[in-house]
Amino acid sequence: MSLKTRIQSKVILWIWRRVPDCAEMARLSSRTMDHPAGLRVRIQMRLHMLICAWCQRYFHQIRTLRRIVRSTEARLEYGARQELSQDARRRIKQSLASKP
Amino acid sequence: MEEKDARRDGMRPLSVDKTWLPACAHQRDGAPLAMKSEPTSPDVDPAPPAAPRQGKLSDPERWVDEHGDYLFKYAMTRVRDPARAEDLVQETFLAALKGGKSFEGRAAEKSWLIGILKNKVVDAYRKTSRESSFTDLEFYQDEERDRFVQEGLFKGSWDHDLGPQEWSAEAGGTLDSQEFWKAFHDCSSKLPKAISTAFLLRELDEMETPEICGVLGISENNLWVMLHRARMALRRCLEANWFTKTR
Repeated sequence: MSLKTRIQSKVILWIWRRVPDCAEMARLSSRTMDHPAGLRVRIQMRLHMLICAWCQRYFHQIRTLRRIVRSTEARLEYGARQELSQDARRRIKQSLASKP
Repeated sequence: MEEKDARRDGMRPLSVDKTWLPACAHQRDGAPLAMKSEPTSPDVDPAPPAAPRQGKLSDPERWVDEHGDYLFKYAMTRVRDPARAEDLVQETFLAALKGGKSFEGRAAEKSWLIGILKNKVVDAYRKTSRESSFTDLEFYQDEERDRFVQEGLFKGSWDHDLGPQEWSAEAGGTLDSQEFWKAFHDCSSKLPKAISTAFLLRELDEMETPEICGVLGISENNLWVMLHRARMALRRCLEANWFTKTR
């Protein structure tokens, strides 16, 4: 094992012992989309993501998901093939006409 | 000269005091003159010109033709059931008819109707959340623990083979919307109803969490758990069916 790898794994372990585990990181990644976290938690998350590619991905992927769902064109696309049928149109018009 | 003074005084009725009035009784003519200068004279009635614009007989039919599809789309996105969506659209038009407003612009009319529909959808959500029981308990508790390392030094870290995979570069960029939404629809319909409702309110309607808690009658902590579960399950499902799919 080269010196570089040994130092690397020491650093990773040092950080790992001081930050939430990945399961907790997944919870926090979601929570911070709805509710801002304190400085301490934000630093812990940053540190964790420094050593963990999986949590980095998770963090960004659920935000990508939000971006797609919230983009306007996407929203219109979601219901693109939905139209009121002629029957439905007639039914609604009738019910409107019967209530003066 | 005297009359001129009287008129000027008439214009300022507040300045007329009782000690002054009996002495110059003939100046009462000044009073009607002052009255006439007031803006709310009875011959200017705002009601008649507005009435023809309300044309209550033709409006509802035009609404259905012009806004029906859009409202239906909006409802379908949220309730995913054509019959229920149609009901919601109909209720919206009926409520609009009752409200009996009229608008100059089509855009204002449309957003007014969407506003009504949104309330109807939220009411429907409220009802279903009251009906749903805790049969989804298993889903709430399952946090995909099988995807995390179970023991050892790195207990609780992602299993490298089962954790989040790299998404293809174009993910979120040049995505084929039709296909993406089909995948999204398939994935979200696998979620328990309460959870997908919470997710849609949060992301599609962009409601803030306290508002959603009010609608669904749950605590904020509970909602966070639901949203976490929704995101986790959707991410996993979309990853398998969309983002890393070899196309």
